[in-house]
Amino acid sequence: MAAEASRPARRGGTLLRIHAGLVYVFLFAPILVVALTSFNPEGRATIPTGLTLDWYSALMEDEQLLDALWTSLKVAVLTALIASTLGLLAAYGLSRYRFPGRGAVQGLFYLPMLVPAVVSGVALLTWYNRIGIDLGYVTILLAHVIFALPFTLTIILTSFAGFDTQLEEAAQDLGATPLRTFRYITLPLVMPGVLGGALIAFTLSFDEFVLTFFVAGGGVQTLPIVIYNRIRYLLSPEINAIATIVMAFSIGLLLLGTLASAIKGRGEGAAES
Amino acid sequence: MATVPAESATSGTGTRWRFPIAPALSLGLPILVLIVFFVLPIVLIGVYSFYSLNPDTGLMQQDFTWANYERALTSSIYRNIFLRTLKIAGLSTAIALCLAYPIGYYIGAVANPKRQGMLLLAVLIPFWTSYIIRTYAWIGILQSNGFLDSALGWVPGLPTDLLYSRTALIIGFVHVFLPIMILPIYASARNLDKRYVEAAYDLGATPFRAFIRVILPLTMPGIIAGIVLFFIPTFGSFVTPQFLGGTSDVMMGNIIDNQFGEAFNWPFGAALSIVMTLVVIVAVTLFFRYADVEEIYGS
Repeated sequence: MAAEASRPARRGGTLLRIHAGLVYVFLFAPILVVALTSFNPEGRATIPTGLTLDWYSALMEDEQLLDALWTSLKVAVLTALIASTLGLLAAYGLSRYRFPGRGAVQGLFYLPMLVPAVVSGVALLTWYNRIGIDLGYVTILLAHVIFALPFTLTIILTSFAGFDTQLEEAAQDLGATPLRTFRYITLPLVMPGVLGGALIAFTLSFDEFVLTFFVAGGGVQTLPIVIYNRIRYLLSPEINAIATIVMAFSIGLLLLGTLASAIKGRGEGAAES
Repeated sequence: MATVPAESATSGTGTRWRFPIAPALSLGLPILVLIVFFVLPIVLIGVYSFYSLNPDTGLMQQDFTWANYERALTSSIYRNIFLRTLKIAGLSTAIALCLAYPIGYYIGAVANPKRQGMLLLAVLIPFWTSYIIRTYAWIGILQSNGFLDSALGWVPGLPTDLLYSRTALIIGFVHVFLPIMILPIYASARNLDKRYVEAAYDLGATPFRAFIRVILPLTMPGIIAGIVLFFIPTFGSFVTPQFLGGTSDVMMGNIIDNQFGEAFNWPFGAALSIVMTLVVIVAVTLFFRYADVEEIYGS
């Protein structure tokens, strides 16, 4: 690519490298401190004097945290399914058709990114209250879908962009019905984008706090909500343990996604050459 | 590259085959969901912001009054909170930019292209770690007898007991939202055509001059996107001030939260929400007049 065609001007490279190193330390230090604290017998953030798994065994008996973890996983899976389906529909419409107001429609999908989360949260709360939906799973799910959709859509649109429409035409010429064409040509080609979008939606939903805070009501508690309440009202060292597990899980998911797209990229590169 | 589909849809040769269902069929459902569960709720708080509270019952009643806006913008308490929120968010954004620009530029334009992916992934990992957990981590680090004290307490003159201060609040903001500022800067640095930089050096520009006259203008879209993406969540935050800031660092998000939680004054909370949204939209519009979002995100 262009980056390799001409050697970049590497002046000041050493200073930039030092700066980057320090920023990485800043970004990772808090995460490492939480992980370290989860094994600290003192149960608080200090340089540990020993190691223990006590907080992990306490966590295994902490029904509230485990329930919340389960709730978050369920909501995140459903958010991923719904957001990637809606994202696929929207991306298909936006990239296959030209119609008046297309730009406005695309802008509409990005609107949730522009409104501060606290405003979206109170707006959804008053809206659910107004139209009479009880706060709970459904309201959380809807909020998460709206929140995740712009990100999901962006990723799926990208996979539609790098897509040879002649394949669709060929299928059509060979007598495939539109639905079959979509099922056997279009969908497999954009599938990596759909999966990437679903993965992003899952992660966003799993970590989402502000919207959930307003629309969860009293009955359903996701993990970020329980963690928030614990931090505010009773500091419990098990938070470090569950945080460490969740972080390991998120990082694993991210690495998996990156690995998958790297392998796919290599496959495509090989096919091209 | 996300901009390509619309163009390629027309640039096909001859008569182009089209999936014979109307765009409405594919776009209808997502648009409907978005309107019903996002646009209408925002419209509703717009309506509520003109309502009033019944002085006898304390309940919200239908009305058309500017009183809520007047209180939000002219009462000295709320005006101060508004200005403070702008100041804290602005300062955090400026500090974040000083940290984000060099590293974004390094990953995108200076680092070995083979290692770009890994370096970028290392920025994404903290980003995909829960916001609440990362904010919580700073409590443990900054509180008195916390991690910082226990690790560096022996260094004379080092500030301790930073928790619940403006400094802690800004550290928290910068940490939590730094990755989303680095990403667009990285993208614009990667797309930067290095031949221009080489040309500037060949023509005798000093590194400083090359930076000011060539690199900075060419990476401006990334800087602008980064500022916007950082500013929006910082300006609207209410968790970080709650956890890390002092009692004198209450921000607008906290006041909105409070109107819908404890104070139970929805019309006033709605007016504050509308003011906050307008500030963000005006700021974003001003910024994006100079940048192309899709250029940054498409790549």
